[in-house]
Amino acid sequence: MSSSKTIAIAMALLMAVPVLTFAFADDSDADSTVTVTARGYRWFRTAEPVEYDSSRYSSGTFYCSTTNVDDKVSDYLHGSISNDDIGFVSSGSLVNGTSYYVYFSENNRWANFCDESLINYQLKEIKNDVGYLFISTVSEKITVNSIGGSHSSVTLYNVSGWTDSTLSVGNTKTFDYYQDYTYCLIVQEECANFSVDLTISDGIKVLSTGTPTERVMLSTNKAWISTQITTSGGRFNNTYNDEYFFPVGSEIRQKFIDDVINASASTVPAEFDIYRVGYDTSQTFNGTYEYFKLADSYNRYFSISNGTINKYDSNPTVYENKTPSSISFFVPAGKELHICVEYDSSNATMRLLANGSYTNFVLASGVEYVIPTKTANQYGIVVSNANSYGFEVMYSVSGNSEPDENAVSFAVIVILICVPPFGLLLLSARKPAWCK
Amino acid sequence: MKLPSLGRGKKAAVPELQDAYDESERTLDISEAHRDVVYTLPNQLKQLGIIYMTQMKRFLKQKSVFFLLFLLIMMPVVFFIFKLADIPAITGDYVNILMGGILCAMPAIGALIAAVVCGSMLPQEFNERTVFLSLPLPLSRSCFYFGKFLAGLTLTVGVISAAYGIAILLAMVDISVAFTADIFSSYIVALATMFNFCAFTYMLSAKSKRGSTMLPFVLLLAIIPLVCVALAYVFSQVGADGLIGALGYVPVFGFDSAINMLGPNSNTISLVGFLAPIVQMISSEFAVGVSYGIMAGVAVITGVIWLILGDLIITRRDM
Repeated sequence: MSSSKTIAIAMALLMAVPVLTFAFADDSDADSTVTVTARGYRWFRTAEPVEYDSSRYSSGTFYCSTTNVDDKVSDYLHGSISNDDIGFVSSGSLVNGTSYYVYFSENNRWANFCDESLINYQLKEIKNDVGYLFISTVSEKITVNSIGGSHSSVTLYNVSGWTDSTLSVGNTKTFDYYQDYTYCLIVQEECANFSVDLTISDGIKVLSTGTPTERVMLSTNKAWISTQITTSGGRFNNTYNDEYFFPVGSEIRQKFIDDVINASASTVPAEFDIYRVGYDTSQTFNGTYEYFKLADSYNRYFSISNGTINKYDSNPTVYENKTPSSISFFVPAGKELHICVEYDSSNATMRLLANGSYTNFVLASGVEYVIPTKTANQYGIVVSNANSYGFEVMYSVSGNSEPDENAVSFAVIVILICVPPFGLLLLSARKPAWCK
Repeated sequence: MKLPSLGRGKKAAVPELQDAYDESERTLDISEAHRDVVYTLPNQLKQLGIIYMTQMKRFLKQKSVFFLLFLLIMMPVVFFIFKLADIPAITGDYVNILMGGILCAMPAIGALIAAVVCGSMLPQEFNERTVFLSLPLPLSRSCFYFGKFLAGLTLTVGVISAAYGIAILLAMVDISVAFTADIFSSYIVALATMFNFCAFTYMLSAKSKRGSTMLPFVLLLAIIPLVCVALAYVFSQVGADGLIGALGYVPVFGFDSAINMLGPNSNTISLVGFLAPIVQMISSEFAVGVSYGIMAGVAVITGVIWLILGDLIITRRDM
């Protein structure tokens, strides 16, 4: 046999070595059937009853009750008691001037009750088991075999909250993304429970809930800005809560800077309410004030046209946010990052960062995500859509590497390793002994 | 000295020979006169060492060595140009990620170094006829073969080590957060892959008469990876997912794997790096191996087999 044939055969055999080695490790591609129960979103209610004003515009989906019905909400959401049993007042029966507890889901966290976003009220979370079905998949398929209750279809969302598709019984959805992973969730209409029998490909992982343990305060990319104004009295209204008038050089102004700005407080304590310029502000302001406003990074200027004030200040004092805006983790190649965040999802969303860039990947509160990595990656979490200066997040993460201090030593070692080769190269230039 | 002429039947008196050596001056003993020295072939290690140093000396006369040094010197130059120009190819919050960007050309340059250094050593000997000065010496062909290979391997390992060292130091100019264990894994895989590439190109050159730098370079950088991706497509059609995973451990992807262990590979100069969309079109399920132990092991084992195969070729070669 000629050498070239030998080489060709050897090449073929050697390429087959790893292939044959792993052939026995081939997982079966069998599908599996799971039955899941999805129960809808987390629910909240206003901490105190909110007065209904029929003359003002209301929008969103919310449920009202004159009494606290927290203990029944879960049963209602699970479908075991009816609307009459729980005592929710239908929208057509709301009475002008009557105060109601307003219940709404995180899906409707922007819901307005009487022209005021419900998130502007102090909220109380109604404990309702998170029952989404979170799945992890790539180029896999899912088939709906049956749906419990009276429902005829289930809705498939991607984690960014967009509806992906609606599946009826017998429908199959094939995920044909090229990304390493795609997360979706299936929920039925809110305020109802149902079970669904699914056949899923082997590549789909059903995610579980988690309980984070670490606490961190993150910046929201907002900054407090201030400018000096002079008012001639009157009541100042605006649609935001985070605007304050403090007497120039006053102690309360300094306290605000210390307790709220420098402390990166996520909420402004109630003691500053009398200085707040808000919808329900009853104080009048007359004189020279330092006007504090929470501004977005792209909107750091004052444009005030309110009552007797008419001022544009493109160069206000900016109190930059000193807290980090994100936390990040280094995940080695071939590992799985387990990440779970818990946060007040009525006030913000948490997004996943990948290699320092924003993704559209929204991390649902309380869900443990498992992110497989084929390459070493830098993942992180960042807050978005928050209307506060700082945002507190509980998180837990595993599968990431811990940094160390040995990199410089390692660099020195590898450079020392390269000294002998080049040393030998120079040594070879010497004339041999017999030549001298 | 002129001898006296002799007549027929006459015996001439034999004159006593006189030389300049005075017997009384013979003071050297047996040891000093080397009369007790038994001359044998130098042992295999000695032969290996002589060939090794001879090849090192040859390297010094080659432009390829200065080309390697030029590549190393260019690393900080390119890094600071990218940094000043704010080109996003080399960015990251961790030393590892930044190193992945700095070493993104390693798959292509690694193959090139192996082809230039180890792919031309033997053919040069034949082209310049210097091999015919070496082979008549009391020297085994295997020592000749492995000695030269070790010299080439030493040089390439030196270059890879220097590249890693420079990359770490450059990455630490601005950032200090590093994960050394992952850098070490990447380094080990890179060394194993370099060994494999050197052995492969050296084996090919053992058969070649004229030698070619381009052939092993193209094979390592494009043809064999493409064959693997095409095989992955075939395997995906027949549902053999395990085989697709195994293809990711073929040593031609070793440098990609080493970069992957440092950071993202989207900018890597290789078939599965910046041509990843094409690879995805052919086979969306193909991925470079992620286990550094398996990758390094496969690279070393196959590299040893390449070497043995090359030795068989060179020892049977008609010269």
